[in-house]
Amino acid sequence: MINDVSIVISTVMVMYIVWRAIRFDRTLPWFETRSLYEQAKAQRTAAKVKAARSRKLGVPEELLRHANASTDRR
Amino acid sequence: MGLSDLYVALIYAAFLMMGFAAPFVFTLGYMWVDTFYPQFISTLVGQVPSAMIMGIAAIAGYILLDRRSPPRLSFHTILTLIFAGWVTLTLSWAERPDAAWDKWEWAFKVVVFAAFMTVVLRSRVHIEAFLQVFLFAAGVHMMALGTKTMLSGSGYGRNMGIFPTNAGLTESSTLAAVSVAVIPIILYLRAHAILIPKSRFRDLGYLGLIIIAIFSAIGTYARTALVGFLVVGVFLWLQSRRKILFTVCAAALVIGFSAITAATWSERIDTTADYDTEGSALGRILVWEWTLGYVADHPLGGGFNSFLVDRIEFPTTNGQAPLVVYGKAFHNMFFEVLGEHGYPGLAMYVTLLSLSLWYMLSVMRRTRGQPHLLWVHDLAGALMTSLLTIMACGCFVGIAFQATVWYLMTLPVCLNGYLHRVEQLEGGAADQPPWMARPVHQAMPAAARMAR
Repeated sequence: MINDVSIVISTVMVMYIVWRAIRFDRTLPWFETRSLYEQAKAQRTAAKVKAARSRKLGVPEELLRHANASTDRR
Repeated sequence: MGLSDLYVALIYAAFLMMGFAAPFVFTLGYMWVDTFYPQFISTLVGQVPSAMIMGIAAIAGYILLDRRSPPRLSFHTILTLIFAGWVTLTLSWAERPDAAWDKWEWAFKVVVFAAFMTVVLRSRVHIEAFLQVFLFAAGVHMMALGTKTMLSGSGYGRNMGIFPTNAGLTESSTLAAVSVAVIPIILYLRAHAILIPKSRFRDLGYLGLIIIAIFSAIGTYARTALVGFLVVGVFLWLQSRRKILFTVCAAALVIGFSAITAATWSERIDTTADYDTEGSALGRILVWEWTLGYVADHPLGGGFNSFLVDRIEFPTTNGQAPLVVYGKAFHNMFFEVLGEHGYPGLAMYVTLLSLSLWYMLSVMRRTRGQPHLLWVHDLAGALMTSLLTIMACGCFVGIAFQATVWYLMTLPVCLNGYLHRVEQLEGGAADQPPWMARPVHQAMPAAARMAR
């Protein structure tokens, strides 16, 4: 019983990881430089602001400042 | 044919099919076969040369379908290939040719695959996928033994692993060493994994795996585990950003585990200090002495499994005739290489290990204080700790050609190669060698990034 459960957990996790790896291999940059990292970080912050606005929540001042600064830089 | 036969055969087939979507999956598949041992569970997989098929697919897949951004050939890779050639050459003067060929058959594949890994694993996804697949493939052995140890307290001499065999990761000392050595990697994945979305469930899962790994190491009753725990504890403490908290947690863990482990485990571990009276420990010292004497006469070694010609004489104190043992194994990865492949083999082996450690130190120094390379910095620390742990354990077990040792020896090369490319890209196109001019993947869309 324990052996069978171990086999199932192990193989399910392995298959899940392989599936995710195939997906991410196509979408993520292979070599993430500082500029790519900062670009993605800015996009992430902007998406957070957008999501907060769409939920009609108060957007923290700090987040807005960061998002504006990121947009200005671009 | 049972359900598990069919199930495991389907997983094997899935690797082969998914490899066509992304050829590096064939390499993951080969490592999975080499770690999970599907051929022992499924008679269907056992009927075909599963490792050979996956190995051919991995090499063909890389050459025909996956030549994006080929890496530079590192000195480590070249030396690995020279070492593979040297261990093959020692077959020609092997003490026991038949036994030497038997070991060469799998050991040679391990070494060559390690060299191959350095050209296949290039991106963060590749490196992490390799680590995760290895962890969960090895996890099948750890989960079975660790869970049984938790439930029953284990017992010395009882085979509670997933297979009733005694090779590779099913051998108790090897499993103990690997179980302890993967702990830093699990801690790294808990903090930086991208292939499993960050959540409380993921955190708990990895923490559970650490507990399973600890119980698995304890459940083997191997004294090697104690050495591993000491090394991994010291190096994790040195790398810890919160040393006081780490000390408190480690102390609580030690007290907790010593309270719940069976008395027989403590008795077994206590024998570690009785090196001059305990049969197994004294036998190791005697076989190491024999090896030094042997290579004094045979500096090029005696080929694979040369220990079969040794003759170990255990001294007695009560005037009885000494006990003589023939063919005692090396019980030390360095003496194993020395006895089998002589001083040239040992020099190459130690150079490879030292290079891997040096790469990690260099990577940690170059990535300090860079937020976009924090994962590289932490992975370098984790790999260095794991490699040092397995080297310390390897001082008491003959695991020189175990695949796990070679994975830990080779992954630093892949990580160093990754960092080298990032540095070149950041340095500007003018400094780029021709291969860097090839297009690399664009930044992922924000939505994909958010999904992480």
